[in-house]
Amino acid sequence: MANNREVILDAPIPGQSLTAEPKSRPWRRPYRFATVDEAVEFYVPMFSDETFTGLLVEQMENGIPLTTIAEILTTSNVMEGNHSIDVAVLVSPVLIEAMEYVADVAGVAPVIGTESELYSNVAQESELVRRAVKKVARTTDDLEEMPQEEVSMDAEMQEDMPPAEDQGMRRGLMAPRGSAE
Amino acid sequence: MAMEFVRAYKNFKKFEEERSTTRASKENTGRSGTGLLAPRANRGTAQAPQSSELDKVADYVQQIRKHRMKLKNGE
Repeated sequence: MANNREVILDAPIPGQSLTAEPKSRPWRRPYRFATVDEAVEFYVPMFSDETFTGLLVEQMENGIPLTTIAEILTTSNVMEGNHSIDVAVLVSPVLIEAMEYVADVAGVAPVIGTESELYSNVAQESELVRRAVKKVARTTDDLEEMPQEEVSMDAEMQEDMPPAEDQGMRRGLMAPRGSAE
Repeated sequence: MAMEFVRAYKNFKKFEEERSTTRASKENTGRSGTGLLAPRANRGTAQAPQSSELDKVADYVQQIRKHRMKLKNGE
């Protein structure tokens, strides 16, 4: 509940978007690319750029879903005033397919992002509770096990350690005077 | 927002499937869609069917998929 309240407080007030000067924001001006064709022409050359594809493959290897990458890519361009949000949604399948092509070339098995639909059946709150319970169980286990482990570790260490006399500590400049051989 | 994109992508996949099935069924009927003997609903003499933005997207995806298939087949 507390989190929800914060979100509501952070939300823009009605009419806030109209407080800025007209045309002062990129998304309040006419878009550079009005159609899907123009947007595709804008995006496709990116996939022939080695730096871009290298970073893309890195993200795919990290398990970032392709839908998320497509969303970030298109949303940033909406903010820059390159195209509308409608074109962003329309062009995203093309971007996902192009990313899959890049993944095939690089030999990476990407996460598409449709797999995350599996979690939609689980309520968000129950998922949070499950995670919290798991975390608490883990910490209590750790607390119970820690002293026993430490004791056993100490005992093992003492058994493994040879007596100080056998370690050759007597030799050298730092050895006690009487024991130097 | 990400969920909306995932949903949109899933809807597009459905659209693509439906599109391919309707195309396949049209090809199977074997009747010409043009000319005087064509069924009235399919008669293409009056107006050429306009492709929607989604059709364009599906065409682009198809093109990239062809390249992927070529890559997988080692061509």
